Parts: sequence; C-alpha cells; structure tokens
Amino acid sequence: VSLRVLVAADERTSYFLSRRLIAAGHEVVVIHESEQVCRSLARRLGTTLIHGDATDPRVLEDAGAGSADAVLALTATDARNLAICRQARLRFGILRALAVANDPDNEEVFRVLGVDVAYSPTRVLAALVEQRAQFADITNLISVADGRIHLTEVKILPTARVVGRPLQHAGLPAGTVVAYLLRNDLPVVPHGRTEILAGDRLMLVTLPGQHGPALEALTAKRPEED
Amino acid sequence: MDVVVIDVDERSFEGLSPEYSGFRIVGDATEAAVLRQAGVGTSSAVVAATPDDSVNLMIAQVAKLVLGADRVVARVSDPARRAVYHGLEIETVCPATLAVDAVAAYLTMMPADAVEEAP
Repeated sequence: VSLRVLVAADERTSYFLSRRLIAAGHEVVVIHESEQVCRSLARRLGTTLIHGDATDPRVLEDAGAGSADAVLALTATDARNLAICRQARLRFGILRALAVANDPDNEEVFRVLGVDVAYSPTRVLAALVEQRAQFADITNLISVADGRIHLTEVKILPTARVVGRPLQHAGLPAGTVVAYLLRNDLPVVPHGRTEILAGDRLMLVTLPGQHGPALEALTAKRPEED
Repeated sequence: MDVVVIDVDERSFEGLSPEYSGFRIVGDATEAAVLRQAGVGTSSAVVAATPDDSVNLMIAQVAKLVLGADRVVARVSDPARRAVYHGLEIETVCPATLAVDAVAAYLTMMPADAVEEAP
C-alpha cells in the first residue's frame, strides 16, 4: 500500500526517514522552515519539499494535508509536534498523526489529546540503560498492546539452572512463548524438546503475570555443587 | 486571589510590579510536571500568554483536557490557528482580531461630522 506521508523533522531525520519511506514506495512531502535545508533535501531526496512552518495550517494545506494518509511530527519541540498533529487530525482529518514526545511525561499527554502513537526516545534510552545496568542478560525489547504483552530477550548464562534442560522442563509458566532463540548468532525456532545451552539468546513473549516468573526461571542459578 | 506565574526565564520576574505577592515558578510550562507543581489541576483559571502560539495551545490543552483546569484562555496570534480549537472548551484571544475589532468600533462610532472635519 502506498501512503502519502507528511514529515516535519530536523534535516537528518527528514533525510533518513524519507529515504526509507520513498524506498518502500510511499509518497513523502517534507516540511522545513529553512529554505537552505529545503533545497538541500530536495536535491538529495528528489521528493516534494515545502518551505514553511509546519504548525501553520496554511503550510500544511500547501503540503497537501487534505489528501495525506499520515503526518509524522518529529521536531525537537513537543509543543510544535502537538500543534502539527492537532491541526492534522482536527482540521484535515488525517487519522494517523504520530509525534515524538521529547519529554517522556508528554507520552501520556499526547495520547489523551488524540495523537495516535507517541514515543519518547529519551524514555526508551533511559529504560535500556537502566536495564543494562541491572541485568546484562535481560533486554526488554518492546511492549505492545498498551504494555500488556512484553517481548524480552534473555541471555542464558553458563551458571543458569536451565542449561542442559529441554525447553519444556525449563520451568516457564504456561502460556509463555519462546518465539525463537539465537545460538551462535544463528536463529533457531525451538520446540519443547530443544535443549537450552549456555550462551543462547531466547526471545520471550509474555503476558504481565508470566513476565517475572519466566525471567526468574531462566536466570535462576544452578545450586552450588559440593 | 492567589496567582502563580511560570516563566522559563528567571529575569522575566523583574517585570512584575513590586506589589506582586504571588508565587513564581521558573520552568517550562509545556512540561506537565511544571503545571502540576503550579497546581493547575485545582486552579480556577489558567492563562497561557507566551509569544509562541504552539506553546500556548499546548499549555491550554494540557491544563484543560489532561489536568482538568476549570477555565483556560490561550493567546493565539495567528487567527488561522484558532479554528480547530473551537469546541474544546479552550478560550482563545487573538491580539490582531481584537485590534481590528477596536479599530472598526472606533471608526463606526465616530460621528459623521468628525470624519468630515478631519483634515
């Protein structure tokens, strides 16, 4: 499906994002306040550039907001991102309005105000750093369905109790899915009899109630042998 | 009446009258945390009047629709940006529109002979 996408972001983000969207067959219109940046991007991307302030409804109209499928507001200022998405939704009826929330607290604000998907790079980075600091062997990759489903990658340490056991006897709570595992950097789709080896990276799909017990089962240490 | 003034620039408070006895908060009012600290949720009125339309509209929407402030007024310099906020219980005040109204009222109220006598 080819979408018509409006992009408001800094030069680098506009460039790399547009390049990718164009390669995927979408039609991209980039809006930027600097004439110089517009000329540079137009030359490099070969797509339509609109020189103007994307929070201005007249500029959005010039950019063809009336027939756009999505608006991506990725500037460094949350108030601008919100203004762009509100105009897009309320004035032009664009259903997909995505904004970056530079302040992690604004994720909730944006959702309440009807900006469909908002994520905060700051929050994602902070969460990653915190997790890395706590458990080098667990990486929370993503939450989907409003945080009701977690995708987590767990690295199996040589000291783990589950090393050498088949997956079905690893003590994972019912309903936990091991979607795949990486063994020596090769992906393997496991089944119940697949033996867990030290160094495996397991991709877990869990519901909130199973999340803690599943991680505990995979990271618990083998009792010391005398 | 208790008043709380929020400004990103501490020096702006120098512009307050010497009689001003209310609160001052140095911070960015587009951060919900700053608005909460200022007690916006329990306030009777919020006025967003920075020089930036997008900032004012964000403050007004967060105050009204997220934090539940009672009455909210936003200054919006560009009349074209006001339309979509109608129906969201956010009052917008546009200096340009006010000036036009004032001038129009002045001109239509002026007695006809006064206009004729003007050099």
